Amino acid sequence: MFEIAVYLLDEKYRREILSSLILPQYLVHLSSDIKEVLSFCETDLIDVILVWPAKKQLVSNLLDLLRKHQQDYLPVIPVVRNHEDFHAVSTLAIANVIQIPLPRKEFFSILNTVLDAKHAGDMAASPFPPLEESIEKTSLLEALDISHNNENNALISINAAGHIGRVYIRKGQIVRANFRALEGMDALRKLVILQNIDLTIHYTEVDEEDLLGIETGEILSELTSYSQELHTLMKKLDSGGETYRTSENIDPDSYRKDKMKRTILSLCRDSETIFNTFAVMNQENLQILKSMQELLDKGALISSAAGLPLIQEKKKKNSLKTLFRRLERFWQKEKQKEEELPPEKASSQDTEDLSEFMPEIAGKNVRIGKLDQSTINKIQNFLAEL
Amino acid sequence: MKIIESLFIEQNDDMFAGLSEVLPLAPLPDSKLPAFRLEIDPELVLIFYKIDTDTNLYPEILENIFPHLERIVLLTSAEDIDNFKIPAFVLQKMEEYSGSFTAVVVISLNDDSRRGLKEPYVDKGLFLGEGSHLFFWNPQQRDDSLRIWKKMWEKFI
Repeated sequence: MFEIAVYLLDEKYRREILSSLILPQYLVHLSSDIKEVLSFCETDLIDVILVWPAKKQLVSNLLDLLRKHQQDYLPVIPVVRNHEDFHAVSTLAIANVIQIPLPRKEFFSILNTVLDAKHAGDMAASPFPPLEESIEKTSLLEALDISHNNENNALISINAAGHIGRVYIRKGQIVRANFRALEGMDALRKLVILQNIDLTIHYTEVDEEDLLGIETGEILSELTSYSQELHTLMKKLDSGGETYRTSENIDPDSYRKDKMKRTILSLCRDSETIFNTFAVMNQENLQILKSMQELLDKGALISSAAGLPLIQEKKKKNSLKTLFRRLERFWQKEKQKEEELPPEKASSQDTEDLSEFMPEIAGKNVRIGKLDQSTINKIQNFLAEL
Repeated sequence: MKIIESLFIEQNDDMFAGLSEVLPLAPLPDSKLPAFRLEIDPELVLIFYKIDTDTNLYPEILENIFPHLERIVLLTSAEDIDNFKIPAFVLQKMEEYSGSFTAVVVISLNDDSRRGLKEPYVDKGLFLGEGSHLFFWNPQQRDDSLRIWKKMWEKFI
């Protein structure tokens, strides 16, 4: 992932920029305040600065500011709107210049060329240890162990097929970890089991508060045991296949009362790896495994190792577009009724008219009663007190 | 800790803000998708993600959160309902995961517009299908916002 600071000088480009430069490839820090752009450069690991749209004087001011704060090693790409600006900014010490409008492909080609050059330069030229290490073949546990032993300040970013997590380490101690909405040990247990990860260690100051409150040696020991236990159980799971799919004969609705099993069956409709199932679901991995084993025992789930062909099953889906078509029709009817009939009469016809819309919207695919009663009670009690 | 995630799709910027004014929400600063946290108790947290109808941002994030969603809430208004359009990517995901969440439609309108409805429909919402409901909401009334939140978490049968 590349981190990009955007010095935004015209708000109309904000949406376009944010919708084009998206995770997991790009993390954008955007501001129209030059001092804030500088602060991104000083506090984050910025790979490139875009000035959008650029004028010579503004780019020149930015370059001066970067120089004064020893941040002038960062490549700057002005994005200009006309030839005059293109030629004007080209005289400055910039990495490249982009003139818009430009086909998206060419835009990213220029941007990535600068990013790749910076990355290659960082890795090759520095006499110091790299500020950033991409160690794809190293496991997270190894990376944590290294940072712990070396008492590093580091931010470890993990990206596994779009599943993104972060671990913050201050003086070798893990102080925070997150993975989607999960925090702390819940997040770490998910992160250590991810496969085919892109793992990057940013050696940087970490100001995060210690949200774990557990000695890192203990955390690593627990995660190692946990990881080993999980792998052992995974090998025992059915015949050990790593890919699973939902049986064609199973109706996921028959598991409507069991959230976890239903989710597993939904995920495995078109076949899914066990690691991705862990990554996508928030529940504890061991509980997921237990549910998967039960589903395998009942034949609801089929392992790839069972030698069965993994048929790409396209389930007939019940379109939710229908909901809005029905809703629109309903609303039009309601408006007509209000125009055509006196209120009392309209009211008397409601039951009949509305009943037309009752059963069809989401059909039997919509699950009900997914939340357990005690959770609903808790929420209702909380709201009642407001 | 139990985390319950919901996605709100709003037609204009004010709707979620107006509806959630009655709740002690805390923004999730680390989320790339606008998201808010409501702590019910130390063991139960509700997470609300929010997107606009005219955006196709955050596909990777939505890809990840869809399997966990308990509720998808569509916020629109009586005046604008004809223009309500769910972003294509979101619609695709809604279809893919239909059956794994409850769909709730909230239409904001003033009291007068409800006069054609019988009281039970005003109170309990309209039954759109198994597990899906439609509610009318008067943004001017705090109690009405609270009513929507309560109804939203009822067990739909």
